[in-house]
Amino acid sequence: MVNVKLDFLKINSESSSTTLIDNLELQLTPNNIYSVLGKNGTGKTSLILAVTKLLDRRKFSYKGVVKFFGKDIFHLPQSELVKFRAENIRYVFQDPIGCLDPLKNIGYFFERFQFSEVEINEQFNYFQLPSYDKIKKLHPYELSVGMAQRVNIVLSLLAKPKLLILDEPTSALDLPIANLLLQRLKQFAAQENNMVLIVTQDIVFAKKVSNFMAVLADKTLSTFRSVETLNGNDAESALADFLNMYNEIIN
Amino acid sequence: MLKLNNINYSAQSDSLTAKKETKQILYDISLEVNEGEIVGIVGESGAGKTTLAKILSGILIPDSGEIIYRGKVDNNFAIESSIQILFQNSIELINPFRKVEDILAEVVKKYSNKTTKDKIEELLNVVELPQTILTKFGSNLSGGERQRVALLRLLATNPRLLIIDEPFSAQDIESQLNMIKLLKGLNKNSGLTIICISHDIQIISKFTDKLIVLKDGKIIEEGPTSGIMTSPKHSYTKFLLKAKNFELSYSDFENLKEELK
Repeated sequence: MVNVKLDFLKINSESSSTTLIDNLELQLTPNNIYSVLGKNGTGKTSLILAVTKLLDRRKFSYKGVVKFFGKDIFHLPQSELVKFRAENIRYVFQDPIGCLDPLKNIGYFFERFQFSEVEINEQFNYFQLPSYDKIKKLHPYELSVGMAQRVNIVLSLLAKPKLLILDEPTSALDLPIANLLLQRLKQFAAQENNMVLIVTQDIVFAKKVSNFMAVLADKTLSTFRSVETLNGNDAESALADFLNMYNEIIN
Repeated sequence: MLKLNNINYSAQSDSLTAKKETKQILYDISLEVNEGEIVGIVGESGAGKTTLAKILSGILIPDSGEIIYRGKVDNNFAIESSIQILFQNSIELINPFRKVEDILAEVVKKYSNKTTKDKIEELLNVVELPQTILTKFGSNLSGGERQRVALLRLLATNPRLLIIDEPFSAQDIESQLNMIKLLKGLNKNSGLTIICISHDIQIISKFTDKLIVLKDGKIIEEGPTSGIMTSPKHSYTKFLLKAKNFELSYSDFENLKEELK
C-alpha cells in the first residue's frame, strides 16, 4: 500500500526562472522511516516544503501530482489543503526558534491543540526537558536552540499526524538526545499507518533511524534503498559517496 | 605548554526572565596541554566547554586557580597573539560587506614579512580554498567557506596554540572529514598545538591524542584518546560511547542520573 505518492514533481523559481527540482518521484509506504540525504544547498528543504505546497507560490511554480491516501492534494482548493495539512501532516522545521511566533509564549502552542498535561509532561520528561510548567511561560527566543528543537518535536508528536516530516532534526541536539529521538521516531512509525520523512546531512543518524535512504543531488532524488540491504558497492554513486564517508567516520 | 591548576569560574545568568544570580560554571579544573598535541574536550551543551575555551585563550579571567603558559604563571594573561580561538559561530565572524582579500590582507600585513600576496596564497593552499574566493564578498560565502576564511585569518597570525570550538556542528559529512584532515595536517606540518571542543565523541576521537570529558563544569575523565575509547572508566563516558552507537534508551538516562547523585 502506498500512502504518499509524488509523481514527476517540478519546481521552478519564478524570479530566476531556474529549476530547483526536476522529475522527482517519491513513494512512501506506512510504518517506514525515509531519509533524504544531501549536501548543503541541494534543495532538501524546498523538497519537503513542496510536498504540501508550502513554498511561496508567488516565487515558485509547481508541476506534478502529490497523492496522499489516494487523494490528490496538489489540486485541492487552498482552504481544503490547509485543513488537510493540519489534520494529517506535521513539520519539524530546521529553525526551531524562528518557526514559532515570537510574541506568543510556549504554552500557547500547546494550548491551541488542547493536549493533556499528562501527555505533554510525559514527552518533556522523555526528552530531558524541564517540566512543562517551567517552560510554558517562556517565549521561543528564551529557549536554547536545542531545547526549542525538542519542543518542536514534542509538539509534532503530540498532534499524532499520519506523516511526520523533519528537517535536520539533530542539528542542535546532543548525541544522547538524538538517541532518544531515534527511539521515539521508531515507536511513532510503528503505530497505525504512520510515516516519517527526514531530510538531513547527518548520515550517521539517518542510517540508524531509517528503513530507506536516498540522496538528493543534481535537482533529482535517487531511488530509495532499503538500509538493511544497502552496501557501498551496489548503491548509486551519490549514495555510495555518502556511505564511504560514513564508513570513514565510523571506523 | 599550557597548564591549568584548580580553575574555578562563575558568571551571572543572563537570561531575560531569571533573577540575576551567580552560577558556578567551572569547578576545580586542572589540565595540561603539551606542545604539538591535539587535545579534545568533549561534553554536552551546558557542560562549560565554551567557557573553558575562553579561559584557555585568555578572554575570561578565572575566579581562582592558576594558569601557566609557556612556563609563566599569568592569570591575567593578556590575549596573546600566539593563542588563537576559532569561535563556534563562524557565520558571524566574517564581515559580509568586505571582500575576502581585504579581510585577509589586513591581518597578513601585520604579522608576515613576506609580501601580502604571497602569504595569502600560501595560506589559501593550507586551508584548501581556491584563489577565486579572494574577490568574493563575505556575504557570498557558504558556511563552510566562512569557517575556513576565519581559520585562515587566525593562521595568518602564526599561532602556536589553536583553540577551536565546535567546528563540526551543522556541517555535512564531507566538510567534517575535510576539517579533520585540515586540522591533522596543521598539527603535523607546522607543529601547531590544537585544542578542539565538540559534543561529538565519535568525530573528536578520530584525530585527537588526548581526550578530556567535561560534565557539569567538572572534568570527570581524561587520558589518551585510544584508552578512553576502548576502556572508559566513568559511567558518563560509558554513556557517551553508548550514545555514539545509538544504543541509549530512556532508562540509561535515568540510571546515569541515579549514579551521579
